[in-house]
Amino acid sequence: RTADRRQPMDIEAGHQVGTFSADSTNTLSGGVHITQGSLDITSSTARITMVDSEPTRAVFSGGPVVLKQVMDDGTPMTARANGVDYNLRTEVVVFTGDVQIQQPRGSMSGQRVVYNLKSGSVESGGEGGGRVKMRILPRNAQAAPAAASMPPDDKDGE
Amino acid sequence: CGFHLRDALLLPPDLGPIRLVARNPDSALALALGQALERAGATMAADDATDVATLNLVGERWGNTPISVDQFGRAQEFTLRYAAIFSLRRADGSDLVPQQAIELSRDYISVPTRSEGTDDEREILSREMRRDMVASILRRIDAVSRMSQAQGVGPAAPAGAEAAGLDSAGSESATTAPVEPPATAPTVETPATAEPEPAPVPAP
Amino acid sequence: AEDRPEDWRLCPIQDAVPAFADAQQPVGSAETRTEQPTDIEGDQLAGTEARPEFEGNVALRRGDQFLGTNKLTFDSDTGHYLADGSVRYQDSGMRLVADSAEGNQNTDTHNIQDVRYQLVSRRGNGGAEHIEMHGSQGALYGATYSTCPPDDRNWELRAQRIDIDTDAGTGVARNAILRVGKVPVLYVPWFPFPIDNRRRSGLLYPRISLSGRNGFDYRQPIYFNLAPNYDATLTPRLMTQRGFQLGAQFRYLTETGRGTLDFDYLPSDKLTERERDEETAEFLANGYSLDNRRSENRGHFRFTGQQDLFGSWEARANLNWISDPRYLEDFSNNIDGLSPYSVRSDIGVYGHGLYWDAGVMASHQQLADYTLRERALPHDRLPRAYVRWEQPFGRWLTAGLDAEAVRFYHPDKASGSRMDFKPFISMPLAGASWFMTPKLAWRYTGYRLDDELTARLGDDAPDRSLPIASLDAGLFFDREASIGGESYLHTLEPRLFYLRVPYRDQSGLPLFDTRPMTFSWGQLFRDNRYTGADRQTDANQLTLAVSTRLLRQSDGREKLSASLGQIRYFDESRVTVPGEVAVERGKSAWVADTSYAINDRWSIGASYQWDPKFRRKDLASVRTRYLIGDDGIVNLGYRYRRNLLEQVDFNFLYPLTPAWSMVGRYYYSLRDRQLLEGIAGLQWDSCCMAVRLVGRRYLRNREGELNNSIQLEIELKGLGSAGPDTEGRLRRAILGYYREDLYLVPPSQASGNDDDDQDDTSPDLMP
Repeated sequence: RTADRRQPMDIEAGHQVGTFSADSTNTLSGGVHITQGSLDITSSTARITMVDSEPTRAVFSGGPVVLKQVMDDGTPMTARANGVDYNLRTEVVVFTGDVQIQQPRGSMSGQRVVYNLKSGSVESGGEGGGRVKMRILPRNAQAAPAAASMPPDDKDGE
Repeated sequence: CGFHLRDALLLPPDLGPIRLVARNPDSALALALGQALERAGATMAADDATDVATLNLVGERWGNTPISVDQFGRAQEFTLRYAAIFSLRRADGSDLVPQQAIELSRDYISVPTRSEGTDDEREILSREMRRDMVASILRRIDAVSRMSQAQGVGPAAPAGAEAAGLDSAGSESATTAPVEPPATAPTVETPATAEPEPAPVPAP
Repeated sequence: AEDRPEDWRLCPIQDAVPAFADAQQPVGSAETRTEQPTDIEGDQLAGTEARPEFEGNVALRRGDQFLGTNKLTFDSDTGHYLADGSVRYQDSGMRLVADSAEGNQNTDTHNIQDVRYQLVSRRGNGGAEHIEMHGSQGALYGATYSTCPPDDRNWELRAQRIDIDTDAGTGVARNAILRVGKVPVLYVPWFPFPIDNRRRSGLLYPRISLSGRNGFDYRQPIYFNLAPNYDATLTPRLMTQRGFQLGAQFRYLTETGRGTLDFDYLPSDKLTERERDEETAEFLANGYSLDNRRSENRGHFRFTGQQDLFGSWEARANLNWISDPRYLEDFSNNIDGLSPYSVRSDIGVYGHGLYWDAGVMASHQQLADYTLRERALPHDRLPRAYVRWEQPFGRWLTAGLDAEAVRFYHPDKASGSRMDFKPFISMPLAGASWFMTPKLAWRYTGYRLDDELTARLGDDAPDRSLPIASLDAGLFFDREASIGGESYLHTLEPRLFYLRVPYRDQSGLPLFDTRPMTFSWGQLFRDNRYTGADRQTDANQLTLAVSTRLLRQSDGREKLSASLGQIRYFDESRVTVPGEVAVERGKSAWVADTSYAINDRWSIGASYQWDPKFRRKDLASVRTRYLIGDDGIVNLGYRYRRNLLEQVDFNFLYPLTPAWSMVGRYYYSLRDRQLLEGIAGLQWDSCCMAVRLVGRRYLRNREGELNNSIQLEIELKGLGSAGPDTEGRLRRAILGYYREDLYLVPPSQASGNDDDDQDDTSPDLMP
């Protein structure tokens, strides 16, 4: 939720390079776990850019990055991807590489997905971005937690 | 000229007991066939015996149609026709006698001005034809058994071979048909599977 | 008669709207769609997560639905979607290609523009300006429907609107124009038609024909699928030259029985009125009974039924009634309406076991030939009880009994009852290659006669009893033979039958159901020359006969069977029926039968009876049949019976090409130099339409006048045949026109009907 931004951000990492000073780029590796309010990200490496002592951008990679978050309308969202580029200021996240996004409404998968968490707008595929798949659960099943596992992402790219 | 007295109607010894299956187990032909087989030395298996040779009486059909009319258009000659479809399979399911149809026909006169006794004549003819049908079926089994006997196991005829046969046990009039057996799909499934739910077909 | 299933063999493999390669196997049915998840995939995704917009080779799949399009926007909250650009839609009932489609997945409603569609179940296809679909129902506006392939549009139904329900399998066209080729043939405000071949209530194929006697003849059968095991068909029929007729058929089927009830009724038949004077003049001129004239109201009733009782006992009924003797003649337009001269009814209870069969039944005949009088009909049997029992005792002895008790009744003839009792013992001795069966029977027949017969015959309870002795013996020879590389078993079966019956004066016995049986091969081995018990031949005769067969050993089929036989009468046989010549000492006619299967397609059969005493032939008949391809057949037959008939019958169905085939029949009586029936017809068959043009010349009435009729039958496959049932008629004329009929040509007058799943193992039949 946008309210997360006002929460403290806790970062754990196996290994850290960087001072987290006002303007700096810090690299974490050896298993990273970042939480901020309802946001919860785990990945193997992360690179966080600070601008006037505020984290503005976080790039995660390793496999796979798992991002959990509660949306503004209270519905939970879980995303998995090989790489995540999270622009904390514009709330736009770019997932790349076997992306899977799970929500009570359904789930989505593709090779590259640009997701604006604030507006909910989403963009995926195109120029070699591979096929995009979305599953929308029937009315009665949507109440259940979005546990419906995605059909295994068969590698049927273009 | 090579003719010799026939030796016994021999069923292949490896045939074992025979189970007689008929669409209508109550049919007089099925009963008579069972009796005749026993008299010919076969041992009849119980109805529910499994993996035994099966003589399947697939179907019987009677028909009585006019075959000639007088100059006033009135029927004066009829032909009573009787067809039976049967097959004999070994215990392992291979065909000893492939599914085939035998058709018998007897012509009889029934002129309009003297038609009394026609029912009786038809009844006498139908009883005779049923006896002849039993004899025809046994004869065919005998002919095939002899061959399989002579060649050891004997070739299993290709299932569903499209061949027609014609049989008239000294029928009064020549039957017309080589009888084309129903186009049985080569699968083992015989066409006479009883539909679970009897559904009358809409009459146009 | 059983209809021949639709024949789509001539249709191109490719459907009008070919199946979509990327469509999934349908899961579930129309009703369960809304419970299935919706999977969407595409090359590109935009919009928001709640309202995605897919582009590029988009595919939406849900249950049995598949939607392919270039661009798809979807609102997962409301379920609304919009598909644009080369839309391809498929579900379990229908497949279509369109420009754009819009709809709502939650309410399963769709609106599709500029469509070309194909019904999955039965080749029905066409186009529509737009389609509104809801679940399995579809309303096609500005639509066309046909079962023809798009590039071979032989017929097409163009309608302002067509409603299709793929679940119920029905289609209804409104304000429709039926076009055959380029010609609009019919405008129909409302026209229902089946879109699959399930059994369900509704209209069946209408039958339209035109004839001099009936005028414009329109039959519209309505089928009521009342329950899985009983149904009814109502057939209102309008004949402009005769009036309005109502026909009805009710059928039921239970675990233990089945039955069919038919009746139809034509009040005040205009034909009766129209031809009354001419008919009366003809009757008076020929001395026919005036009661046999056409009745005012015409109708017929028919019930055939079977009901299992207990054990092997079952009840069978075959009841028929016609309003007047000319009914069959006036309600059929072929020779088969003329050939029956009586309509038989019987009802009874029958049982049989391993060694016996018995029954109690009654039978009655009604006149169906106006030139005869009631007196020509045989006695009714009200009732007749019979039992036949034959049981082996030990290895060598068989005992048995043939007994029958009948009460004969006839409105115009003297009646009475008869009891016939024939116990017998026989000794069936048999080895592998021989059999010998001596048989001794004692026959007692006693009567109870009414006064008229008593007066005429001088005794109200005459009887007759006499012994019957016979010996039936035969040998079996065989040898291996090989013909054309196939090995055959060649058998030779000599047989003799000696019959010895003392003479009894039987002139004092009445004649209820007795006349000489047709002389045939079977007659050589019977112990009585007559059909009934009123006469028992005296005999001192010996039959010598021989049969030979060629049986193919690979499958047991009989390639050749020939038999020859003759009776030697050592004494004259003095028992006769009035009008019969006594059998003198000497030899009977030779009886020869042969049938030869030249190959699996061509067979020939012949019978010949030659009387050495008068050096003349009594019977000569040759029949040959040749099968062409899957459906073609050629039959040629010549029949000669001394003092009765000499006829030739040539009929064929010759397939020229897969589409064109010719049918023909030439049935000519040489003795009367009269054509009995001539048929010439052409059939053009295509994927979705068949046209049969058949010209017929057949005996119309007892005066031997011939009638011409040209029948055109247009069958729009999948929509209903618009002409008289020429195909059914042709089956009877041509033996085996429709391949499965090869055993017997329906309508066989055997009891039990012709559908395959029901065997008729009993031949109580109707002449």
